[in-house]
Amino acid sequence: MLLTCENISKSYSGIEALRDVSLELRAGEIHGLVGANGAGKSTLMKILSGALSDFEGRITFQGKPIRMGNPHEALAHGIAMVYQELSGVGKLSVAENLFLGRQLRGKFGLIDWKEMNRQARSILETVNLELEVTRPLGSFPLSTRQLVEIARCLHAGSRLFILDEPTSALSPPEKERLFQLLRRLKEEGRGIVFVSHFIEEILEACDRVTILVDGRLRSTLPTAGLDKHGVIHEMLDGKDLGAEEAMEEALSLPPKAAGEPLVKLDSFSLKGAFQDIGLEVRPGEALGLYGFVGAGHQELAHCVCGSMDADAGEMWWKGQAIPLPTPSKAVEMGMAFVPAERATALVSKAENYKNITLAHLDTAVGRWVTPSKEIAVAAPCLEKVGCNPPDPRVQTGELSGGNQQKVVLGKWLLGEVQLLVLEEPTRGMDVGAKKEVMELVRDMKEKGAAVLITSCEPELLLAHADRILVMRQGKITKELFDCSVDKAELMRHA
Amino acid sequence: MFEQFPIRMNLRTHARALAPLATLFALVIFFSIFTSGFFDLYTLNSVLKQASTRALVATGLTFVLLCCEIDLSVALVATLAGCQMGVLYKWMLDTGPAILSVTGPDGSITVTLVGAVLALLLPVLTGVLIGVINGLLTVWSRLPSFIITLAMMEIARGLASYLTKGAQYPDMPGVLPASANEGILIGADFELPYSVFVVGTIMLAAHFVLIYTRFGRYVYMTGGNREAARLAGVRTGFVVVGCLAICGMTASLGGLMNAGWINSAGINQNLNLLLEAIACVVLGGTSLFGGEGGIKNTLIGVLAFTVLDVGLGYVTWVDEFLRRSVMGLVLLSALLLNGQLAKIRQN
Repeated sequence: MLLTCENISKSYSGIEALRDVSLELRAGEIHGLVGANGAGKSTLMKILSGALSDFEGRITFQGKPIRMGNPHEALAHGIAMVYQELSGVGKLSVAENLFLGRQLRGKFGLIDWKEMNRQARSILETVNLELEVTRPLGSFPLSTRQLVEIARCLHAGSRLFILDEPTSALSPPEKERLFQLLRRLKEEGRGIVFVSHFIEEILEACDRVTILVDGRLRSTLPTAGLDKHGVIHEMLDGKDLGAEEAMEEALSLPPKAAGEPLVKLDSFSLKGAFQDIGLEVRPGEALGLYGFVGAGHQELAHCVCGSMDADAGEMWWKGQAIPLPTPSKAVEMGMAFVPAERATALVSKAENYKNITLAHLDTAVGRWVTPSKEIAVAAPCLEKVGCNPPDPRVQTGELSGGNQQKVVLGKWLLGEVQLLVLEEPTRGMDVGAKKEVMELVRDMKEKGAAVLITSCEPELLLAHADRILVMRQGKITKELFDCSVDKAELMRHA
Repeated sequence: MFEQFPIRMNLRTHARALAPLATLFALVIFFSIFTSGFFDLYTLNSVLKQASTRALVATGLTFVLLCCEIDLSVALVATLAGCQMGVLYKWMLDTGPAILSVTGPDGSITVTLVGAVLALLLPVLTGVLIGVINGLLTVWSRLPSFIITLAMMEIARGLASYLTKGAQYPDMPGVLPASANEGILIGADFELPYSVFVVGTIMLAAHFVLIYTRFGRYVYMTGGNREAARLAGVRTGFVVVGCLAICGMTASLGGLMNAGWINSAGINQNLNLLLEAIACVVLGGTSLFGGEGGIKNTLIGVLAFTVLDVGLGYVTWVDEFLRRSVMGLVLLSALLLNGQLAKIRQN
């Protein structure tokens, strides 16, 4: 066994996050770790990577009991953590990142740049990556940065790699490349813990999968002979499946909605993101924008509601030509924007009620702002969106990701939403929270709001969009409506 | 109706809020025990008097720090206000038109009420204008307010020098020295300075604006997460300009108060005011990174700082020339304590 965890328990101020979880990982194994949000995945990851040192239980690594006080000690033992938000320093060169904290010294203790760059190239060769190592790391796409990070840990001699949602931002070819690398690591006898919400990918990449439910070990199963439904069934502990989870067969999209568009865009361009985009959305219609990361659909969503300034573009609102709105103007007009980064959608240090009332203080609370008035409007709102706990006085930053997203949506419910723009509304959420969040979106649509959803997840759009525009490299390549479409079809156009 | 959500009261979550108050009490107790003559109503009177300029400047600075900006021009804006007032008043006495000054039967010249009001109002308007310019430049250039207000500090210094040509201006509307130095006698030996009422009114108004108005909420939310506030439709640029304008206003009020206190206006005033005012705000527990704190905190911070300042004057067992260092050490410990308590709260 490469790694053995026995009876790991951890609680945060009295609330159990993990209870008696045991896990075994063989050398040369890719081991999946799945569970709903709050099931204890991240806690377990943090314990394994040394980020949490205060827990109960025993960890044995390569036959020796170990206890890490911090991530550096973990790395010294040979355990490397690759986070979803990669940790490299974007402004330093690739080579500097590979040698971060242990730069090669030459004469007089100065950094030996030449030798460092040469070695950096050969390190990258081991993961089949050919890069200009003197360029800043930040100038490379996320997928490349991820491989660089893995190469760095590999070079540091890591035996165990913990990958947190490694595929969430990857296109299919990039994903394939990552999987190839993982298989190589596996052949070399290293171990990999693969944490993901994408069950198909777990099934594709892993040898065994461990399922956590409410902080307890539900089961560890070999992936051979296991299918997605089986895993979801285990994860939900027998609860009902959402319709969107059974997304294997083709789905039929309805015909194009009739009537006057609420919003119409023409010749929208933003340098480096998209060119000459035109589209329209009608009230009560959900338009999906699909594309891989970097296709430009995310930036388009930002430009529609003024969060980013498009270089050029014309916009019609209810048939009238209008100047491109600023965010405050957009909110006034009834546009609600839910960005992918929840860090830009919420003031995490502020209480829930302050986040809920922020966009509509004038109409919902009135001239004088008092907590009692605010709580009176925020509490029912939190109740309605199903925030857990629905306590208006809790700091929003203390909630889980799914609940934070509900607060973001709840914020817009205080006013009349005419256009709802969602960017990756369910990223990083578990099945249950996803379903609840998208139900809120559906409610808003049924009340007559026009909805624009941009996503890199085909399942999400197939389940929730009435019409789908596929984008590739900043251009619309296909409009899909009134037809039967499946995941493969969508991805073919992207 | 919302009993199910009790306001969480426990020491841990309130440790940070209580730390500044604890610092204030600790300082008072310390000086009462280790010096003679500190615990006295006369000391209270000097603390209140000395606190007034700092309190005014720190009030506006609180707005600026809450929305995650900084204003380094406050001290020189204060000085400029004092100088402007002094020069203006002198001009009225010397050559002012009849509406501004009148010659009495005995040949003495006095400034009319209109003149006095003008001499007080114009400097404050200048302060507001400087604040607005600070704000507009910060928002428009997207440079840190640190840089913009640093440049503005020098501009204000230059203007003040130009106006005064290095001279002192001892004449000013009588209300200034009176409010800064005199007060209401309470009992036999305690005089409550009039400045307490001036400063109290302004701080109360500031507190009200921050807590009960939309603008106040926007200040906190802009400081807490500017992008989130912007995407929620808050005009964050307007909020920043507003905060810096308020700061310019209170800074110039502070400058007038200080000129009244020392009965003279000139360029060599308010030399330590910038750092003192920042120290007061931060000592009160308002975050340098925006979104947390408030006027209540600043009030405690100003009192704690001034108690320290006045108290050290009573300390005889420290070399006089070392007092400033002792002050720095005490401040440092108090700030470190605040920081540690904030950490406890987060975990």
